[in-house]
Amino acid sequence: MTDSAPFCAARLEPGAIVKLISSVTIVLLACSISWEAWPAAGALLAVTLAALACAGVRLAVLCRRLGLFLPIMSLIALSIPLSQGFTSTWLQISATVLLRGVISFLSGLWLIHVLPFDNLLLTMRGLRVPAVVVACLAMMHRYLFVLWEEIERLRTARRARRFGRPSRIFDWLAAVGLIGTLVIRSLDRGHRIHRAMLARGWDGHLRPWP
Amino acid sequence: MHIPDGLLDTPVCLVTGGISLVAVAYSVHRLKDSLADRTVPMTGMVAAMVFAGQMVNFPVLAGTSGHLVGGVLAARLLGPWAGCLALTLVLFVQKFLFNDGGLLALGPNVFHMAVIGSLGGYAIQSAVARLAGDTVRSRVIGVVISGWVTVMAAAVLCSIEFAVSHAANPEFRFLHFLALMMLFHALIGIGESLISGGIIRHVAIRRPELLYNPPTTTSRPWRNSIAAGFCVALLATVLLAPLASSSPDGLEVVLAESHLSTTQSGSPSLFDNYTAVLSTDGWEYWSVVISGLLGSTIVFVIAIVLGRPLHRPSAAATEGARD
Repeated sequence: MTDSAPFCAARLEPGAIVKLISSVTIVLLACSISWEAWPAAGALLAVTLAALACAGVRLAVLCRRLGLFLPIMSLIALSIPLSQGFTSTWLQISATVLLRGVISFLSGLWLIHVLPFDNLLLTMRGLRVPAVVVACLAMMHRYLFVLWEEIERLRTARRARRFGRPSRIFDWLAAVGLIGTLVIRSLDRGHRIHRAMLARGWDGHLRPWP
Repeated sequence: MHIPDGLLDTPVCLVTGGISLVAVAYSVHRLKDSLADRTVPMTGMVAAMVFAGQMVNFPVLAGTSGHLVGGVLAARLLGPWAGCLALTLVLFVQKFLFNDGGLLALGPNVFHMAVIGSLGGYAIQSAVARLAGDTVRSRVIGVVISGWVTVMAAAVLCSIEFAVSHAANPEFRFLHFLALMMLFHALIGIGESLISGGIIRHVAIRRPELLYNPPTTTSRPWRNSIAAGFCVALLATVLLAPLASSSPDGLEVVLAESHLSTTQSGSPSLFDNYTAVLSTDGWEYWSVVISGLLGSTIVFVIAIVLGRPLHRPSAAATEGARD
C-alpha cells in the first residue's frame, strides 16, 4: 500500500476528464436518440468507430468483443417484442434499444483503451472520491489477477483429477467446491495482508502524499 | 450480463443511480465502525474474490452457462455494508476494465446487485437466523432463501424501471413483461441460491470462523419457526380465505358437465362447505374465518401430537455432533 500513486491528492489530469466526459456524452446522446432520428444514430456510430480507430483498437479485437456482446444484447432487445408482441412499434423500440446498446458498448470500449485503470483511480482521487473507496479499488485491482491465476490452478488441479466425461451435477458440485476453496484462500490472504499492513504501521487512516 | 445502456430511460438510470450512491455512501460510513482498519484489505480482497468467482461457469443448457452473482455471498462473508461496497467495486471494475454493463446503467446495476443483493440479502438472512436459531444450518438456509428472493426482487424492480421508461407508451403491457422477467429470473435465482448456499456450506464446514458474525455452536429448538409458521397460517386464513374464488373448482365443473349431482350423500359435517353455525345472512365472512381458524388449529395440534415422538432423538444420535 506504500505504492501510493492512487492517493496523491489533486492529480487531476485534464485529458482524463475530457475522455470521461466524452464517453458520458456519447452514451447520453445514444440513449436520447429515437428511432426516427436514425441518421443521427448512424452518425454517432460512425464517430465512435472513428474514435476506436484513432485509439488503435484493432479490427480483430473489435470483432471479438462485438461477437461476445451482440448475441446477449440481441436477446435482451428481443425480450421486448417477445413480451409485448411483434408489432411495428415494439420492433422499432427493440431495434432502438439494440442500436443504443451497441453505441454505448463501443463508447465504453474506447474509454477503457484510452484511459488505463491506474489513471482512472488517479482521476477519481482528483475528483475527491473518498480515499477508502479508491484504496479498495486499488487493492481489488492488485489482487484480481492473483486470484484469477489461483482459479486457473484450481481448475487445472480439478481437471487432473477427473476421468471421463463428468455429469452436469458433478460439474456443479466441483465448481461450488472450487469457489468455496477460493473463498477460504482469499479470506486467509486478506487477513495476512492486513497483518502485514499493521506490521508496517497501518492504522486505518489513509494519508495522501503531498 | 448486466443491464446495458439503452434499455432504461436516462432519468430512471439517474434516479436509481442516486439511490445507489446514497446506499453505498452510507455503507462506507458504517464500515468505519464495523471493519475499521480491516476495511481496505478485506473489502478489496472479497471484491476480487467475487469477481474471480464469477469467472467460474456453471453449465445450464446446451451451449449456455451461468455464473455466481455474489451479493448474498459477500454479505454473509463480510456483513451487509462491506458486502454492498464489495459488489459495487466489482460492478465498477467490470464496467471500466472489461466494459461489461452500461455506463448510465451502472446505477441500476449497483441498485439491483449491490444494494438489493447485499443489504436486502443480509436482512433476509438475519430474519431467518432469528426465526430458526443462530446455527450453521440456519445460515446456509438463509443464504439459499435470500439468493432466490433477491434475484426475484431485482427482476421485479427492473420490470418496474422498464415500465416507467415506457410509461408514455399506451401499448405497453406491464404484466407480460413482468411475467417474462420473473420466469427467467426464477431459474436464475434457483442457480444463485444453490451456488451461494453450497459455497457457504463449504466454508462453514471447514472454516466457520470466516463467516461474518460466526454462528453459536449451540442448537436451538425450532419452536420459533413453528410458532411463526402457525401464525402465518392463521393470518392467511383470516385475511385470504374469505377472498377465495366462489367459482366452481375443477371437480365441480366436471361433475356439472357430466350432469352428475354435486350434493353430498348426506354424511354429517360440522362445517358444511366451510360455512359454520354463523351462516346467517351477512355473517358468511366470519363463518369462513372461524372455520379456517378452527381447521388450522386442529391440524396444527394433530401435527404436534403425531410429530413429537419423531422429534425425540435416539440415544445414539445424541452422542453425535450437532450443528
